[in-house]
Amino acid sequence: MRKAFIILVIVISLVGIYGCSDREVAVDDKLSEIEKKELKEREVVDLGGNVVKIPSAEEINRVVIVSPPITSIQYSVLKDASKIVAVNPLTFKSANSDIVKDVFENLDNINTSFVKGFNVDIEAVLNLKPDIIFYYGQQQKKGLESLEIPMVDFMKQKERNPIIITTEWERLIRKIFDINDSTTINDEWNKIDKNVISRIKELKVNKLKGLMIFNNSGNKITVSGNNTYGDYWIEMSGLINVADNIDGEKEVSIEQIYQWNPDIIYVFRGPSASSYIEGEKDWSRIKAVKDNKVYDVPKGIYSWGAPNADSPLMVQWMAAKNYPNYFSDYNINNIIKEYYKEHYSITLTDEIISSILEPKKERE
Amino acid sequence: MKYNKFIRYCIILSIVLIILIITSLTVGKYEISRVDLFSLLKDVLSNRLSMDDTKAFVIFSVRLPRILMAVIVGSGLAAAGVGMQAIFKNPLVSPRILGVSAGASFGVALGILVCNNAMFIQFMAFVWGIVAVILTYLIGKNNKSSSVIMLVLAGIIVSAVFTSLLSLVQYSADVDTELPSIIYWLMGSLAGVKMTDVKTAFFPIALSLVLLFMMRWKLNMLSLSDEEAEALGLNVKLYRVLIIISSTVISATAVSMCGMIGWVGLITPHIGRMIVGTDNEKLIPVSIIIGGIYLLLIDDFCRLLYSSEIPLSVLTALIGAPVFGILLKKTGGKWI
Amino acid sequence: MIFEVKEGYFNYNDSPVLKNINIMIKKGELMTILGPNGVGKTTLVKCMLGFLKWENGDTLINGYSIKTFSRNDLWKKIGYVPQMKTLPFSYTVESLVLMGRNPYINFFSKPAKEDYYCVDKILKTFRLEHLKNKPINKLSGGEIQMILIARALVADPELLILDEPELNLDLANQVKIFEILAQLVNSKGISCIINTHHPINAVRYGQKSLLLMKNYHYLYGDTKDILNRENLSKTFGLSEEWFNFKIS
Repeated sequence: MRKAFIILVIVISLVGIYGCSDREVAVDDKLSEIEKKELKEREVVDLGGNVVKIPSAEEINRVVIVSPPITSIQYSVLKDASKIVAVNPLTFKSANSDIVKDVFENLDNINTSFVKGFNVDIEAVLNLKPDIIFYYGQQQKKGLESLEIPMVDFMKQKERNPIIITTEWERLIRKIFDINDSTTINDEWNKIDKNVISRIKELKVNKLKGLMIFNNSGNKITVSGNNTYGDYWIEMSGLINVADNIDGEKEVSIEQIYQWNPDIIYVFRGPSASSYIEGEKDWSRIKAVKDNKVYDVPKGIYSWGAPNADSPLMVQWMAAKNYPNYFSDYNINNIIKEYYKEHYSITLTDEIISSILEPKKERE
Repeated sequence: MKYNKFIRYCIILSIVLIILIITSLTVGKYEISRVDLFSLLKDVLSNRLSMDDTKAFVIFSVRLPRILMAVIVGSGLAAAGVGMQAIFKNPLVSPRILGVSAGASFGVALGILVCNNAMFIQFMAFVWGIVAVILTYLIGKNNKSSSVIMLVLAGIIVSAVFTSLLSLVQYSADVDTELPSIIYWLMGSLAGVKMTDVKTAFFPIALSLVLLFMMRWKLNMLSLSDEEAEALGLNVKLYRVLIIISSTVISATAVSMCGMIGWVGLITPHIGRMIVGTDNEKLIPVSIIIGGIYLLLIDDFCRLLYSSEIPLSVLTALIGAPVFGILLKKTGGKWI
Repeated sequence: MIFEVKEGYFNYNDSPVLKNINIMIKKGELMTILGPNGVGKTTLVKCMLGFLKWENGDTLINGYSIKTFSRNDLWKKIGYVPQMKTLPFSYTVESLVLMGRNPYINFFSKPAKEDYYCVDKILKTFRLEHLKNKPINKLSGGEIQMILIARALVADPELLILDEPELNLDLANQVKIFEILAQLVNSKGISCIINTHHPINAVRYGQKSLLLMKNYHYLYGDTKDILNRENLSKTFGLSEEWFNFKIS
């Protein structure tokens, strides 16, 4: 009997680990340690904590970007994509196609076949003769270490706050290309803090309940729980994330969603928002669906579900969707237009803006 | 084992299953108070139930299909396990030995890649599960002898090929959207099960179950050597094919409905043997009930333990394997 | 019943194993098959029963080819006792003997009361009632062999074919098995074909013998004519003097 008890305890603790897996990573310690050392000229500490020696800005002419959203950051800094020779295919797939055409004048010459999933084809990379490589995390780095090409890691372990992530990304890109002018993304975040977040704090109504559907594939619904990008978007735009007690992106049952009964639902991947409203009867019992408050996550220079150069727009757009009465002064179309002009020097037509905001209609 | 005693066990196990089904109906994420439950029960009895009430909807359209699916799939896999163990003359065999799971998983992945529609994915899983077993059978079939070793080897070959093909499909899948879908689907879950799914799964599984049930006594002889069974007047090839077909249909349906579930087909026949012994005539009915209880219990854990769903395949093994280990240790495997 | 093999030929991978086998056994006769290892005794049994296909020739029952019999009819007439080995699942004695009733049980059926009654009867005849609910793998070799014979007999066959029934049995148990078989032959008129390794058992109990020798030769006839010193020593490659021993 005692043996049985011990085994039971082991099983339960194993299940427990599954429920609250929280691996502490000592990257922060490593980072601060390295930062204490004085960096030499043209050396950067990347987000993975590596010290990388980089060529001078003028010598960087061929950039290979393995990490999809970094392309948008680089473009917002340089306002020019001519130095980019190869990008992750997701860069195009997760972006509005019209905007992609605006960004890349030489779209057909951009190589997207050097990376498949998480795996980078080393020889293809060598063929591209890059001056620098931007990658995301150890998995993408596999095999690349052996190359004598400067490589910058853009993955900050465990960090999911879009403000911190995009700011750090931009800081690195600016350092690498030695650019200090123009509005930084940090300025935008400060504006958001003043115009959105502090205004939400003064809200006189109870906060609404929000849910981000991360994916929905064959009736298997995955939602954004605690410490996910979705979680940050929801909380920053003044909602309470109903899936707060879940860690990461996890599958839930429809019954759980009934119990949460969110006021607003955002749909990242999977079937479009309209399919929830017009589609199956199951969803019609949820308040957000009844009230027609189900929205697709927009897709601009990159999908707004993940951090990228468009991210400040995501918070403003969501705030306006969540509390239209309080943000009635917001003309989201104008805000987007101005933002694109300022950050990317792109003039958007109203058509493109509506295709940004309703990305799943664009496909149909 | 006396026949009366066997009947008594069947009745007890059935009562356990029914109680478990009723309890499972009343617990869940959506809070329904006891008072509401009683009023719902009254409505059901007086036939005044309305699905406009979310509580009624949750119980009868969300929980009930899921519970029924768990019972059907569990029962089916258990019976398939008994059948496969008999024809392979080996108590360590589970229905997946002929490559049906590998084939069906490949089908799932391919289905997600081609067209992300639940019905289509289920269809692909089913078809490819069957295709895999047909391939195994064709490779393992031999004019001179139809030894089960050949079938086992063929099963290993086919499984290996389809596992690689699955990896290939996963490799060519979109990392952001398709790959997680494939992985989630294969990890298995009954969360999205609807009444239409139950209806789809019911007929193939029930039909195969009836077939296995009717051949239950003949299974005893199939576990002897082929010639011995032939000399008892048994048409070994025909029975073997029928059992392979019914097990395959059950397993393919199971994967198509709730992903890769291990252990049910392996463990429940053994629990059954502990209760009624090795005689397949009694083992099949008992395993069918135990399979239903087992998978329903596991799925209850999956949906109730945390706010998020725990993959079914995780718990079937994580709970099943240690429980089996304890039983094995305690009894020394005497029941086999 | 008359059981015969006519002009039986069998090849294994194109090399001949059995050539022109002709045997006949009548009601109430006990025939033994003897021969050195690897000469094809088990193959002969398998061919006789149709597990392996004759290249040429046929097995006949009362003059009709066994192929013309339905599965159930054939195995109601012939009972086969295979070589003893451990079973993957340890069925009880009752379950195992019950399997012998299979030719009487329909495709999707299970045993009826009558079948259980037959099992009880045969176990009583063999004085094995006390083992009825024991798992088979817990029994001794002698007991298992008896159970296997009981299983073959429960279908009420006219011919019993046994493949090395004395395998792994001590002398006392071997005698017991052969005594039972001899009794069945004498009292019930059942015919018996026994594949054996022991000439003594063959000489003692068999009316007919088949001596398989190397190079596809064989001798068939009455035991007293066939199993003499000359033939046995030739078959097994022993000197004739070897058979001269006496136990004091």
